Amino acid sequence: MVTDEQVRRIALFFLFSLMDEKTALHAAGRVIASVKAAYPAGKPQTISNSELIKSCWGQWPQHRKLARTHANSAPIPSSAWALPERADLGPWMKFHRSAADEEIVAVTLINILGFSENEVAHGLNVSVGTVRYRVGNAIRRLGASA
Amino acid sequence: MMDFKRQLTPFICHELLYEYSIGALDEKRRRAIEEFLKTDAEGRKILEALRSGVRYVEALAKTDLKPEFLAHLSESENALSLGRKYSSWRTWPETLRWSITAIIISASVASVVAAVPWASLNFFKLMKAPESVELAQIPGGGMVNLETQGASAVAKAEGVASDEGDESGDDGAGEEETDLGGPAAAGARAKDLAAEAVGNTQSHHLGSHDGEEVPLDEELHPAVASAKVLAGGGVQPGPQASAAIDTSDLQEKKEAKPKGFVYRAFMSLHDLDTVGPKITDEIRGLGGEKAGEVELGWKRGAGRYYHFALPETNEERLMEKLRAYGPVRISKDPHPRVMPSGQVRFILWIESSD
Repeated sequence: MVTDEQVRRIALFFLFSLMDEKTALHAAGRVIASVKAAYPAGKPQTISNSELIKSCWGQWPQHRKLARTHANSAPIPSSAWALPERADLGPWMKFHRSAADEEIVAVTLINILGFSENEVAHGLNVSVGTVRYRVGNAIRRLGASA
Repeated sequence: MMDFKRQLTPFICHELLYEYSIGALDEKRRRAIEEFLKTDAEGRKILEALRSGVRYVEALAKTDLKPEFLAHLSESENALSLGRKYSSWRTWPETLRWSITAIIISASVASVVAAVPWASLNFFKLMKAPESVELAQIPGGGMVNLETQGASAVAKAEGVASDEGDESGDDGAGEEETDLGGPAAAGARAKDLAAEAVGNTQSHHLGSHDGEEVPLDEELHPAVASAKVLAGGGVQPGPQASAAIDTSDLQEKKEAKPKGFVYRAFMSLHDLDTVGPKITDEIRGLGGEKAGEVELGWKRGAGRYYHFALPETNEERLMEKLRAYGPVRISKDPHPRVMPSGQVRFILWIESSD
């Protein structure tokens, strides 16, 4: 089974990392459906965070390509997510244009969605040091433009 | 053990600043970074950028998904997840589960009923008739009061079973035809044969109450002999003559008997109140005579019933006349009653199509 919190995390992951609402919701729907298939309702166990990250990361590259093709026409997503007051997506958009994909994914998972470094490292199949390096670079970039 | 002071290059210091900002460095490195930052302006700038970045993403982390999108996404399914969802019996709709249960039970019961050889089960064998049944009592004078004997047989037969063929239905009662084995069938058969015998003497009336005695000549009326034998049903054998007929003998007689037939016709016509009497006249005009107890064109419900005997030569003409009123469905069915030569028997049912 998939919890509401897991659905929220999956959706926000794609919304922040793709910055294209239509593609993000499509990708999120596919991941949620695949998780449901693997963990059907009625069974008590839920997917672990690392498995969840792995599922998201599995869908990410193809949807990233799709999102890039929409990049010029798609406005900043705003209908699906409820941003906090005074939140400015400008630095995030700027960061998107300059950062590597891995950095975007890492900072989204750890700093926005609150997964632990270990979970992310396991989900992305990299070391914790690599994850920390990517996040450090991403945060520095974000801080420079924020 | 000697404690070496760790020398960090500016590059390494800059790379470690994120870990420093999140407190992930060990004590020695943390001190080294702090000393380095005192002299390195770029390092302090990077550290400030890192702290600013962390604050920014912490603000973004408060972003939430709108409930409608959350609900929409929660319903996401693919073929596999749907398959998994409905592969479990417990997740099926309750009505569907009960329907399937009912169908399975019905099919099981039907299979058992069809598969079990009921006839060979001992319990049902006990319920069957004995091999030899005493059926009739023949008075010594060679005469039989057919009225009495036949009525007795008919009473017995009617109490247990309807006529083997269509006698009861033919006579307007329209009862369901049932063929029971054993004494009941024998009684019914008695009624049939008795009626047949009387039919051969142009009486056809089994249940008349005029007390007429019909002479029996077994050579002329072999059916009467059978009726005579059969009609006694459950009567105790008399001193003069009692016939115990083995059911196998009865079967042989049945097989040896010439096979009769009856035409069954069906029509569906409008305005039966007008057409019905006309058809009755047509039948009479062709020499048809009622063969059962009811009049030709007996009204039953919205339909008309005709049971009649007709000269065989007028059979085609009758069909032509009937077809003039509308389409006729006709079948020729085997029947135990054998009509006299040159006569055919019809049962015509006309249904109102109004």
